[in-house]
Amino acid sequence: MTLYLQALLQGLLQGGVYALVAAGLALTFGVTKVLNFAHGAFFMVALYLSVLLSQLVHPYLAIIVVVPTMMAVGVLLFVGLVRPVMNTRFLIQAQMTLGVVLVLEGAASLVFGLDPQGVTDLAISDAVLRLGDVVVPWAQFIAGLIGVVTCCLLFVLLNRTDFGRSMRAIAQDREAATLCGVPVERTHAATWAIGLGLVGLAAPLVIVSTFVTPHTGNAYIVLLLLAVVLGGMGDLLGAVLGSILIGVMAALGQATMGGSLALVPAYALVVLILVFRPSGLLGRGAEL
Amino acid sequence: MKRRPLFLGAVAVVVIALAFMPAVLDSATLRIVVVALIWGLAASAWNLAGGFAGQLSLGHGLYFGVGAYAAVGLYVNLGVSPPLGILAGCLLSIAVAALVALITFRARVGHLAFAVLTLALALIGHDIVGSVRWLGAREGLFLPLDVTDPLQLLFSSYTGWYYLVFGCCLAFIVGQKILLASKLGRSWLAMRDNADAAAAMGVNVGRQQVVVAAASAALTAVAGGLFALFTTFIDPTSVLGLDVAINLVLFAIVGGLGTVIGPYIGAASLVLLSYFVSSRLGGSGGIEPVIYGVAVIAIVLSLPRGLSTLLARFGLARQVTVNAAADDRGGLK
Repeated sequence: MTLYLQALLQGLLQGGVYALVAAGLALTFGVTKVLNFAHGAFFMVALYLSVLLSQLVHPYLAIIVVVPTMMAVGVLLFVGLVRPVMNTRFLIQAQMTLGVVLVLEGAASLVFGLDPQGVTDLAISDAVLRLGDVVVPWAQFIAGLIGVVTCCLLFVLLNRTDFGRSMRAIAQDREAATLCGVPVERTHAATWAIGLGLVGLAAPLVIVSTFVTPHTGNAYIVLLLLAVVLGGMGDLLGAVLGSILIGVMAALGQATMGGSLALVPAYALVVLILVFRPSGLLGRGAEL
Repeated sequence: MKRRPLFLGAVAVVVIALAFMPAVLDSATLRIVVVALIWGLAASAWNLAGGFAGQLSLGHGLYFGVGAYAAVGLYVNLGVSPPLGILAGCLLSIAVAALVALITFRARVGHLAFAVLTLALALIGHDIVGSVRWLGAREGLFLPLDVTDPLQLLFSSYTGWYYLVFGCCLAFIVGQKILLASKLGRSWLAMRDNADAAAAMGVNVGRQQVVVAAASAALTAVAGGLFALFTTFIDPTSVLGLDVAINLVLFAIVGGLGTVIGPYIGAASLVLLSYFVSSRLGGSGGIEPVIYGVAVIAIVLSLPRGLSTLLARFGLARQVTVNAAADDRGGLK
C-alpha cells in the first residue's frame, strides 16, 4: 500500500512539472496554432543552460537568468522560424519544428557530448521529506509545487488580464481579434516568450534531481504531446490535468511493472481516453 | 493522360541510369543507396495514408517494426523463410491498422488525436518488444549470414539487394500511378480534401479509411522486412521507435507530400546527405544532425511543397494538383 501511495504522490509531483512544461506547449499551440515539436528539445537546452549556470550559482537562483533567456529564445524562434510557416499546413509546420529538434540535438551533442550531466552534489539533491511512511525528495516536492502554483497564476493571467483576453481572443478567432484591435503580432510573440519561459522555469527546478543528455527532449516531447492532446488541443486546464494524469500513470507503471514496460499503462490509457473522448478530457479541445 | 515526350524521355533516362547503378558505384555507396531506397519505400507507404488520404499517422514505426521483427524473428527462432515472415508481418499490420482505422473513424477522432493515438500504440509496441526475450529484448536480433538463397531474400551481394529493392520501388510507383488514376484513388483524394463532401458524392468514407490504412500498413511492413533483412540487425529503437515515424514523415514532406515520386526523392536526398556528411566530417557525432536539420529547415522555407516541385519547375513533372495538400486549407475548389 505504501508503495502505491509513494508512487501516487511522486506521480502527482512529477505531473506538476510536466504541467509546467506542457502548459507552454498548449499555450503556443492554442494561440498561434503551430504545434512545437521542438518544445522538448528547448527544455533540454534549458537544462544544459541550468547545468552551466550552476557552476556559478545555485540552480534555484539561476532561474532569474534562465527564464529571461528562454523568453528571448521564444521570441527569436517565433519571429525567425515559426511566423514564416504560420499559415501553412500542419505537416509543413511539423517539418520546421522537427528540423529545429535535429539542430538542437546535434548542437547539444557537439558542445556537451553524449554523457549525462547534472547538478546532484547540492544539499537539496539528497534532502527528503517524510510524510509517515512515504518519502519524497524535497527537490521533487518543490518542483511539483511551483509547477502547480505557476499553472494557477497562468489561469489568472489568461482570465483576468487584458493580455490574457487578447490571447484567448486570438485563440478563438484570429481575424475577428484583428478587426477588434487586438495587437495580434505582439501577442503571438509574447505567447511564445511565455511558452519557452515556462520551460526555462521548469529546467532549473528539475536539474537538481536528474540528468540531461542531448536526447532528453525526445522522452519529454512524447509525454508532453500525450498530455496536451489528452487534455484537448488548446485547452490549458485540460493540458494541466493531462500532465498530472500522465505523471501519475507513469509513476504507478514504474512501481508495478517497472523496467521497459513502465510507460505502457500510460500509453494505453491515452489510447483509451482518446477513443472515448477524442476532443480531450474536458471535451472542449479544438478539432484538428 | 497526355504526356510530353520530354517527360517520357527523362523518365526513361532516369530508369536506365538507375538500372546501371551497381556497375558504377563502389559497394559502400551502393549499400547506402539501397538503404535510401528502402526508406523511400517506407515513406511512400506512409504517404499513401498521410499524403493521399489525409491520415496523420505517427504510428507507422509500429508497422515497419512488425515487418522487421516478423522477417528476422520468425527466421531466427523458427526457421520460417523470410518472405513468409514478411507476409505474416503484413497480415498482422493490416489487422492492426484496419482495427485502429475502424475504431478511430467510428469514434470521430480528429487528426491530431489520431496522430498521438497511433504514436502511443507504436510506443506500446516498442516497449513490449523491448521486454520479450524471444525477440532479443533491448539487445536486438542478429540475422546470421550463413545462408545465401535469393528465393529466401538472403543475398550475398549488394547488387542482388539493389535490383530487388529497385524493382519494389518501380512496382510501388507504377502501382500508385495506376491507383491515383482510378476511381478508388480519386475517392481517397476527395476524402482527404473534404470528407463530408466526399461522403455526399457517394464515397463510403469509413470503409475507404480502413482500406487506405491497411494498404499503407502492409506496404510499410514490407519495407520494414526488407530493411531488417538488409541491415541484418534490428533492435526496438532502430525499427519501432519514435525516430522511425519521424523519418517517414520527414522524408515524405521534404520530398513532396501527396506526390508519388516525392517520398523517394526526400528519402534519397536526406539519407545520402547524412551519409556524405558523416563520412566526410568523420567522428564528431553532432555535426551531421545539425546539417541535416538545417537542410530540413532550409527546404521548408524555400520549397514548402517539397523537393519534387523542383522537377515540376523544370517541366519534368506535372504541377500535380494533388499537391494542393501543401497550402490549401482543405475544401473543394
